Amino acid sequence: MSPIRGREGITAVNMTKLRRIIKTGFSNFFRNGWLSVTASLIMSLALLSVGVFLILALSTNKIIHELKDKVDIVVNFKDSASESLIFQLKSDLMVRPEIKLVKYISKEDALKEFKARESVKREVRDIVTPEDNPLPRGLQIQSVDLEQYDYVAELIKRPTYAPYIDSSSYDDNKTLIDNINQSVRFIERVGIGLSALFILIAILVVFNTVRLAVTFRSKEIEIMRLVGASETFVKAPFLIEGFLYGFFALIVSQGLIIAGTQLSQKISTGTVFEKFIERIIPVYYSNFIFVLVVLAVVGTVIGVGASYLSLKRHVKTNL
Amino acid sequence: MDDKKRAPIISVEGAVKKYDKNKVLDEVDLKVMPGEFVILVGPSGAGKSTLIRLLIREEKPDAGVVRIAGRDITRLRPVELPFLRRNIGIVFQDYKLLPNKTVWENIAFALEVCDLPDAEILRRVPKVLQAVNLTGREEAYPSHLSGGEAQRVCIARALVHSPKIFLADEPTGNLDPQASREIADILEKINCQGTTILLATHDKELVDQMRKRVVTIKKGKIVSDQRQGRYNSC
Repeated sequence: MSPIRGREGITAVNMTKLRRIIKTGFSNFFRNGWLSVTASLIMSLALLSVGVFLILALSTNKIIHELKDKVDIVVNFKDSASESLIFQLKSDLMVRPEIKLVKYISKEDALKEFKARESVKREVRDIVTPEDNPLPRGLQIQSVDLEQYDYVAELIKRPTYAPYIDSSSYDDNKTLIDNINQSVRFIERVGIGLSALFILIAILVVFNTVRLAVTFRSKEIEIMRLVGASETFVKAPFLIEGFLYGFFALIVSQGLIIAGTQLSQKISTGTVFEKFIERIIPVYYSNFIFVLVVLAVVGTVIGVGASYLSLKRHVKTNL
Repeated sequence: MDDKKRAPIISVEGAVKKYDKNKVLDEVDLKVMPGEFVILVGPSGAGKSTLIRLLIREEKPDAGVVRIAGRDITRLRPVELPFLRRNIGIVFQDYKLLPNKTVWENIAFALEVCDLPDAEILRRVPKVLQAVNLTGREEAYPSHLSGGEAQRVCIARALVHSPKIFLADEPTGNLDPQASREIADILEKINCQGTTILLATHDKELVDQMRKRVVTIKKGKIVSDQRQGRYNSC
């Protein structure tokens, strides 16, 4: 007799095994009732916070991208500034690879642009003529990155340039940009912090849920081992349960996000948030699949991962 | 072929098991030949259960070798353990039945977790139920069974893998004499079909009636080993 046979091979056997493992996992999930509900709900919170953060991050990213193309710095020179000085500043700016485009605006260009502005009153427009042109020469800097603003600021404050510079839009823009940068960083920090916190809580809850489930079923596990159940058959149903926590959490959190977008749209109408919400919601819908996939991955990793860790710790399958 | 037949199916050599310096088994040697019926007797705490736990690798000895069919099971890799256990049927005093499963489901469960196809389960379960006289009780839940019936379900579950070795750890501990006799009869029947049986008990009456090989264990040592022994002979 050979008591120790290895390998069960054929596909039919594996299919039967898979079917039974999945069935056991499902029936255990529903048998645990409130335990499963709690684990799924806590995990929904984690996924919800990850989802909301993700959407906010995508939205602010988009807004910043739009701003980057719009916000230029215009440096205006006094008439006393020599042409060569202006071009020297231009080449100093171009040193930075991040700065894509620096455009020289001559007095004539400035005039043309001024005349084209519809907002300027006719009487004012007529005062300015090519012969008597008070408009300054300038450099229009298209900043690629908001961070480049500081570099530009530092340059124009140098003694070489400072006396010849009439005005720059730097200061006006700086406050705006600082504000945006700050809020982006704030959203990022709060988002990452909250998500990490909820993920940690979810991991602990799933870990403990599986531990409780293992305790509830310790007799069953013991019998399984004694009658020669394979290790997969003992452990895999718990992993299926973990997966189900993640799956239901995904559905709940997606439901909450969709309901949240509808609700916030209604509530915000006519308030200061309206514009903000209007910008965010399309970002969510255009990234729907991406957000869904990220949440599914996070949910599966938390559910299956925490179950796995708990099993490793609490189920002694073999010596 | 003859040599193979003569080789012991269970062979314990110099097994020592300690729990916190407390020696539960002390240099135990035991050989059981294929087809033998061995009764292991001794007072509670003598080490009977520990010896049985070594045989199914629930425990590893601190020293010594445990061989089943010639293979040293102390060296089995974890993935090999289920295959060892499918070849050893085991029953306990406390039955270890799942309360939320019927008699049929309890037995089928043992086959399901070992990946047997449904058709095979449908074929085997009625057979073992018949072997333990439980045909007709398939749909009953463990809470509705008498002690004797519960133990017979447990035996059926152990038999369903057609094991070569059958271990019974105080199977009649909770049963009245009548039910105990029934269990003993079933064990003898199983033995007649060629299965090696190791029965641990301190049921004096049972041991004396059966007239089998009796191995007595006391304080972790085997103190006597008699063919056709009696309980009081120790």
